[in-house]
Amino acid sequence: MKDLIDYLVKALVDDPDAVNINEVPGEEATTYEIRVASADLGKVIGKQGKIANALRVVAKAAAMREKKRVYLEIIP
Amino acid sequence: MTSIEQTGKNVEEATQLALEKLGVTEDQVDVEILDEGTKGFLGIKQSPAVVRVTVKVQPEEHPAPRPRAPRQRKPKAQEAAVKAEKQAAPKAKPAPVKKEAAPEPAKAEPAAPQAEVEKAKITEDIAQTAERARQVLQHILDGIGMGGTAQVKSAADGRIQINITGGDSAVLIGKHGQTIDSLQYLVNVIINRHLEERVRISFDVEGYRERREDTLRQHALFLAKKVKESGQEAVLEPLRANERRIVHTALADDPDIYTYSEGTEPERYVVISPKK
Repeated sequence: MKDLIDYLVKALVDDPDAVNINEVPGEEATTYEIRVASADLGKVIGKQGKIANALRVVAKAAAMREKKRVYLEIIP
Repeated sequence: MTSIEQTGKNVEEATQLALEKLGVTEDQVDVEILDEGTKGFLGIKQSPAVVRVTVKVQPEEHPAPRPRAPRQRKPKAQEAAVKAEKQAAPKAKPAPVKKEAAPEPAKAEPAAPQAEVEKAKITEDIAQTAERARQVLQHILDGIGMGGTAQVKSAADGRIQINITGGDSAVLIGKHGQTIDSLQYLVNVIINRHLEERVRISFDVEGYRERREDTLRQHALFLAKKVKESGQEAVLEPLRANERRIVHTALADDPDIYTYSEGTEPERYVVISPKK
């Protein structure tokens, strides 16, 4: 899952080296904190959060296998 | 040179959105109005404004910036010819960077008319783009871990169709196609980021798109019948623009009802109303 998020975020930004995904395990859900270069924030959020939401949907599909909830947080 | 087309409620909004997308200011771009759009009445006959925003090239790269007269969309053939002309004229211009990987098609054959050479390049490019899109999608599918194999179905005229076969299609489609739409959106963004000319990539899972269209049409007809019987309006769940269009089109010829859309994206929905 972390690899998938990492891959997608890096494919979306201009500065892939600045991408950092932090996995925070929880009891019911795993949270993934996404950090990118500040200039790239818009690229992972998108207009009205469109890209961020699409990322969440894809992460949710990937979480089906693990039967666990997943949250994506974009940390500014 | 980056150029994008953007739609919006009006020209101003479309331009603003395009500038945000490109991350530039207004003085750095040329704005070309492709469609002014109309406000319409009660959601009928309204059409969005469309602009093409082109980032102006750096002066040092292109010593002679060509003035771009606002133009209507030219027919394909004419456009190709213009491109061929442009290619032929400035010899000083360095070879297009984007196409470096493409093998130069038959340079030694002077017999081929310029326009055709240019056309061959474009198709070659889109095949490459399609393959890149397929790889990105396959990588994501592998990451999701629900199986599925991506195959390029077609790639021409700026449109790429990719089918996903096998795997857990229910998960890959998602509720009302949520997952496949998201995958499609992300891959479009990822692929088009670096492209000079936008391509439209669409995904399908096991004929889902067609089935969904049928379902929507059936549902629309069913609701239309109820509206006629009860004389009361009926509301569909929020749909995307292309799906709303399917509903409007399905009921357009019915003389007893009319349809319109209400609400703002992404919660915009179709209302079926009886004609009094």
